[in-house]
Amino acid sequence: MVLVNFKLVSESNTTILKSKIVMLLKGLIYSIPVFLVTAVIFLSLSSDNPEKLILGDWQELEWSYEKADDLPLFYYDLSKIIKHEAEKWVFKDGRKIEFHKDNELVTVADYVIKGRGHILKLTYPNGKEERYDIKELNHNEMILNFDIGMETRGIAKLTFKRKS
Amino acid sequence: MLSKGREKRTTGDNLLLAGTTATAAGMTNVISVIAFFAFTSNVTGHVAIFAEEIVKGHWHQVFVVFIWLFLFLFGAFLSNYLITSVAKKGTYFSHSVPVLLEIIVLLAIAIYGHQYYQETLRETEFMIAGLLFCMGLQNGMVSTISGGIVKTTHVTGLFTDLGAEISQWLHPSTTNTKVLKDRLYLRFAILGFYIFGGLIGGKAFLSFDFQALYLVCVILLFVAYYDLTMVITRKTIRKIKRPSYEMQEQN
Repeated sequence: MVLVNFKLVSESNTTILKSKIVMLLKGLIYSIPVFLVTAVIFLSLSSDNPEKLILGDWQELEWSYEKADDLPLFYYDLSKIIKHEAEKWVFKDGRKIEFHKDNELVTVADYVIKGRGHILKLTYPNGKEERYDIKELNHNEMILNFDIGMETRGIAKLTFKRKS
Repeated sequence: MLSKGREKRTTGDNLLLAGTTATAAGMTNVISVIAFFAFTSNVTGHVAIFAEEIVKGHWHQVFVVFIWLFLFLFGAFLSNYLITSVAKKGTYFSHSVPVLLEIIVLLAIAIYGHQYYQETLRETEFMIAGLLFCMGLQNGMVSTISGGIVKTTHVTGLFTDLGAEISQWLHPSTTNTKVLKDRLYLRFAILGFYIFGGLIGGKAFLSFDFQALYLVCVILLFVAYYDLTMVITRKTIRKIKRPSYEMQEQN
């Protein structure tokens, strides 16, 4: 009789333990998305908006043609690109940009950042437009790819360093 | 287009629904690509971008893309939820609610884009979010109504289905049934109208700016209004055709 009771008690304990483990696992599974969402929101709030991050002086370090060897296959008239070599780009409030060379103002343009903050569009006073794909933008470095279409990027790569 | 449930739908009903909504989706997608440099009728690319931005540690972009993906999902969820919730009030009414909601959101985006848009990043992000919500809403609505046969906002699945069905059609050991033929018609119609919508949308946006979205609203109004006229016409015909003794009995 006692043995039967013991068996019953141990079986019910095992069932309770199992249900507790299942509950714990369910709780963990449910909390993962909540945790991920919270992490994404927290990280995005602590990171800078590209529109704010881009403001300031940027010194052009390098201008390179990444896909120049493939031009017969992937032709684009490079003469259409305005080559901004050894320039300082100054992004100002009011979405104005100044291009300096040898401490002299070369030209000005309007700029807008589009998409998810990955497209930089420049509009010159003569109406000519240029688009760059922002590959990297942080407090120290900015890397732009000249953009000639949604699927074709990386022909011209511009690397900038922030001037303190 | 909207007055029949999935069981009673004919190929003609599905073709009409697919053609109009695919045109609207194609237009919206191309408009958003030109205006905002972002696709809004599908989320496959956004999922890849989401992963890319996490790897790069671009948390602002991660959050933005996450919200975009969520809104597409929420649009599809809301669409189905609304249809189920108001199903008691009639098939046509329940099916037209998501369409009307989509028109309202698109109209708001069109008015804002045309009158107030300053091209700031925040505005751009919100407007892309609105368009993705609309496309989720539309895709959910079309998919629910047609029982999953029609999906008009993206072509990845379409190409997969089309490839498989063309193979079935051409394979010597497969019999070409009417169902297969109808499905092929439907796939080609969606593809054709999606491209057509893209061309029209692109041209209209370059000429009329955000006012091009009014054209999308007109197409969607046609989707909603077409059935309204059909429902009313059918009811009127039924009333006229009703035998006189039935009328007397009712009185």
